[in-house]
Amino acid sequence: MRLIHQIATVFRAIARSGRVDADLAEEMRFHLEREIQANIARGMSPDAARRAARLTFGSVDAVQETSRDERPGAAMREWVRDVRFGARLLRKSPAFGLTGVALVALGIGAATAIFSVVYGVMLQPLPFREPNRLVTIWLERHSARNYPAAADAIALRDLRDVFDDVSLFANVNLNLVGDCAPGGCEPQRLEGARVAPNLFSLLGVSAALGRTFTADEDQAGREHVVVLGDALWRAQFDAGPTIVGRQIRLNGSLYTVVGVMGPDFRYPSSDHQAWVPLVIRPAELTRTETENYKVVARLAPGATLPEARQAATSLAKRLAATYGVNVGAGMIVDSMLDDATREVRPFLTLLLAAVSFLLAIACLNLSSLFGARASARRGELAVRLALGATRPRVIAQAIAEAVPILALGAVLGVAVAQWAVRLFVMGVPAGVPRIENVAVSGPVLVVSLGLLVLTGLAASAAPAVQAWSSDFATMTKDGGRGSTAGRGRSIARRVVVGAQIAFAIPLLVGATMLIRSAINLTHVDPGFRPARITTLKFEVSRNEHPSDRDVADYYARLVDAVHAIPGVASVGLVNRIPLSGGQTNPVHIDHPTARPDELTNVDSRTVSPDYFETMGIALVAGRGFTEHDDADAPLVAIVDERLAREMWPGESAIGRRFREPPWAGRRWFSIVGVVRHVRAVGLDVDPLPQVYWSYRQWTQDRMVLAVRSATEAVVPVRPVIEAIRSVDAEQSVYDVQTMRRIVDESVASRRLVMRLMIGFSALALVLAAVGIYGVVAYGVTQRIREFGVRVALGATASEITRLAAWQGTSSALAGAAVGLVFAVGAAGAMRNLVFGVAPRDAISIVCATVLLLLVAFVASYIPAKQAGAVDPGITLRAE
Amino acid sequence: MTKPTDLVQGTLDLLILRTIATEKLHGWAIAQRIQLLSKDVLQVNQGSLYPALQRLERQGWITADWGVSETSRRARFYRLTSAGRRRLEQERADWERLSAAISLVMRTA
Repeated sequence: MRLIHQIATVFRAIARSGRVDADLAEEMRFHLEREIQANIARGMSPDAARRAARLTFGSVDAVQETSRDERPGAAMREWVRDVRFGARLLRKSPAFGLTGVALVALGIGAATAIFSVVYGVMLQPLPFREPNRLVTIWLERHSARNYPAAADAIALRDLRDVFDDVSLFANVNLNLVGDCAPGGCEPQRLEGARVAPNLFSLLGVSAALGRTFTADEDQAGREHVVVLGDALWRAQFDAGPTIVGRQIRLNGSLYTVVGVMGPDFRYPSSDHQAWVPLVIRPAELTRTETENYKVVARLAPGATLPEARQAATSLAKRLAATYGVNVGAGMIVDSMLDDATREVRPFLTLLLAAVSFLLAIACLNLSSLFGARASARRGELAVRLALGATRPRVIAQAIAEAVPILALGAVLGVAVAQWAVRLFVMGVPAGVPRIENVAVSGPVLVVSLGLLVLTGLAASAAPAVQAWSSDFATMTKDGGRGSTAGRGRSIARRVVVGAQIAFAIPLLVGATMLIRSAINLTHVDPGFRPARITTLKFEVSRNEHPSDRDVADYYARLVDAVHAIPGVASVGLVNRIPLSGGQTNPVHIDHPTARPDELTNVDSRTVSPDYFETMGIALVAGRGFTEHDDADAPLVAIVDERLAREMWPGESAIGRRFREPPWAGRRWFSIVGVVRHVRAVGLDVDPLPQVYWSYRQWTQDRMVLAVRSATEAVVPVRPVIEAIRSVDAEQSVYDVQTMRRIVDESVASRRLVMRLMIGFSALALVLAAVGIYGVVAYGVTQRIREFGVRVALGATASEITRLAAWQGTSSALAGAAVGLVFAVGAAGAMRNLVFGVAPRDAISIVCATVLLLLVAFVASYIPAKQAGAVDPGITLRAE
Repeated sequence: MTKPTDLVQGTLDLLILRTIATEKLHGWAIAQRIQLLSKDVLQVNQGSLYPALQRLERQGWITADWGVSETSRRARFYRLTSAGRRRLEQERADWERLSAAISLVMRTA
């Protein structure tokens, strides 16, 4: 009851402060009138009565003032007043206020955005049951990751001590033909996966509608069931609940829909929209088939990752002994999250480090900004203390003045963070995993906001807190002649500026190294001519073209149809376009020093005869493929110059041979031609030599059609698709892109990181410059009398300027020295991120340091110049 | 007129509570009543009366309403709350103990 009353009065006092004041004023007016009346009643004249009453009454304002302090919520009202005062100060010095607001907003925005991205992509747990127990398993050959075979996965299931369950899957293209009007329906290509039925239970997910697969649906004859993704269900089937049990046509066969996954299920990637059971053929179990599965497992309770690694590696040895393949190969067991983010981790770690440095710089800058302002008002502080202001009051006021700036900055910062995260997610190139998870993370926002706000508050409160323990004399002495009391603070300010430089150097060095990498990348020769090429992907249906010969004949008809389009110079087929990732195949190469059955990893592609001409890949020796290199002809291959040079240095590779690995049949291929080396995986990575097969001898179901235009303009897509449909009306195509675009995309993530780094370093540079300017300008105002005396004693203007500038340049030099140590360490850690630049690139380090010192010098020189212009007559008379 | 005796803060609170214990009074009347009852020894300054009233109101011991004064003017009348009544009893007991103790010391020393 009492509590409620108190809350009510406090509320009334705050909410209706004006009303309470008015009440009090009226009450006292009544008091005065009543006193006057009483005096008149005692027999005084009205005038005398009034005078006497006023005399006893004292000051109405003073009473009001004291009563107000007694009233509930007084401290809070006090504070609101201080904050208003702070806002007024802000209006009076907008440059200071804007700098503060910008610092806080940019600091919060940049830090929150990058931290949120890192959290969403790298740290946020996978949306599965006990996600930290999930692992991904690879075959390791020559320290590269290869896909395991089905037999490996089945064998892993026997390691019950370390694995609870092991599952496997492979990607598959599914050609969905809707059951809409005949002839009027576009076939649609779906990204799908063939999965072992236990994958869903291993991950710990279930269908949102219907069910996932039963254990026996991996048996041939029962596998025509499909689980749909939420997005596909909504887009294609109007989210109808009756979809379960319906039949849809995939790749020419009827599949029964058994379930629909929830919208959060994005596995193996967010593009996957359909899952069908994986049927493992008997041949795969004896390890005579290719390795092409992704294997995932759940660790057994109590089992650790190192234990699992050890068990898997010894299993690999046993398997090698059993099947006689993969001798010397091991297995890699990685946590599923690490595996999913392996490729983006170096970039994100770099951005994380960069934005942490930037945040540190912003905090330091804010502290010197607020600190300078607060110490400039020490004299005022001393006077107020001397006049009786209590110390908590003085501190509260110092903080309150910073509040409008910090609050405005924080609000803007949240907006900047939102906007920056959205921009980042949009700007991120395709293929960054889990980018759809990225959103402004609350905890991250709170931390970065808290860090900057606390820094601001601490810096503004510091002089007031200091005043707590010092007396009036020392506080005002600073203004006195020959004072040295400011020295401690001036050193502190210089340390803060030096630290900003120290943090800025690694940022600049990093950005410079990335810029140099980007320049190097533009000079990379991809080995083909990307101009004028249109590409599109498609997959052939084995139902309609069962044999390899049928498929190849179908391909030849497609090529002919597209070639007939006016303006087409040539048409080629390849199963994987350059710059779009590797396709590792181990082969045994017959060269002088080869050990028996030794396997070498090569990058292999299946191509049509006109592929090299279409892509602009030059033939170096021998011949290209022809339509006669078919299943009845001797097996032939074309290799790149790199393989030829490595295996048969100084000799011709034509007529040499290599063979398939044991599980693929050990067939020998003779080399008939040598072509230019091509950047197959990416412009910046080039791990393997290359081998090409004829599409009639090593047939693939998924192909990329490349069309070279006879003119400058690329061939439009419509006629190409129409030509394909004229051969097969149900053929779906996807991923239409120009080759130029593919080249750009392959360096898109590097570009993005480079741009961000340039942005961060530019910001760091500006902040450092502002910091140095502030220190020197402050130093000049502090020492203006000293300079006056020096000039009076004969110092020249340039001597004074140098003296004043030294404060800034010396801090910058000291900071740069420390920063270089940071930078050398950080640059070493960037090994994976640079291209054609040494990990500790001297040019980048020198360029960045010189640029920063140059800026520091200019920032010191400008305010120092004013010191040189000091007129001793004026400064000394101003005493 | 004699110089008003400075009132110890706690004492003023007690006097106010006591004065309005029996009937509700406005500020001026409270001051008059204290002066009258103390035979002009205690004069309550407005500068301490109104802050004290605000303080007591905040504590929830007294409460105020606008009413009409004996001179037909709008005035704010204060009265005790039940919490205030308990507080008065306690303060009175404290005071009596204290003054008895002081008198004892003064008499015997």
